[in-house]
Amino acid sequence: MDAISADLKVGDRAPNFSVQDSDGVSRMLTDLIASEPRIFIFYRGHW
Amino acid sequence: MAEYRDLYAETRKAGADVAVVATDPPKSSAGLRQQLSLPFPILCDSQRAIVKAWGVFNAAEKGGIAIPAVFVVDRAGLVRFASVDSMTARISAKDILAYLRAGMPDSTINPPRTNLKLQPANLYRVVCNLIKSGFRSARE
Repeated sequence: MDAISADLKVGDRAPNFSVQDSDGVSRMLTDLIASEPRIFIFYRGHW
Repeated sequence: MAEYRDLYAETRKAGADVAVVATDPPKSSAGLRQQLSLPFPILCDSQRAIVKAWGVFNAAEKGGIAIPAVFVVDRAGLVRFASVDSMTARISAKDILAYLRAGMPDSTINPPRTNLKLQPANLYRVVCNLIKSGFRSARE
């Protein structure tokens, strides 16, 4: 199987973002990692 | 996602939190979150802003979706772990938990689970370790 290489690599600064979560709450990267590291799971989507 | 849910308490104990990023419409994500009883948020990236900025945008399918991937970002905003997967090789929540418990050591873009054998960087490290241990035992 082929692993696709990401533009974003270990040691890079994660680009900040501001989006809403599924409850309509505004979420920024800086808030999400303010107190602890965070695991971001990118989901392919509902089919 | 269910796996991350099941290991969520342990993940929190290991000092980290979780978020899902989905390009689905917010309503779909809300439904999914409820259906799976996810204790962590689903971020709605309908605009594809995050997937594009983070380099995991698959333009070829369904009008553009996320490539399955897992990143661990530390408090300084640095990527400490990155796994960008083909469909069949998603890193498991257990592997991530083990990584957190190990104190988040430096990792490679592709975790050993996907293709240790094929990674020149990993091979290099293995060879280096062999050389180092050889030196050590030769001296003793």
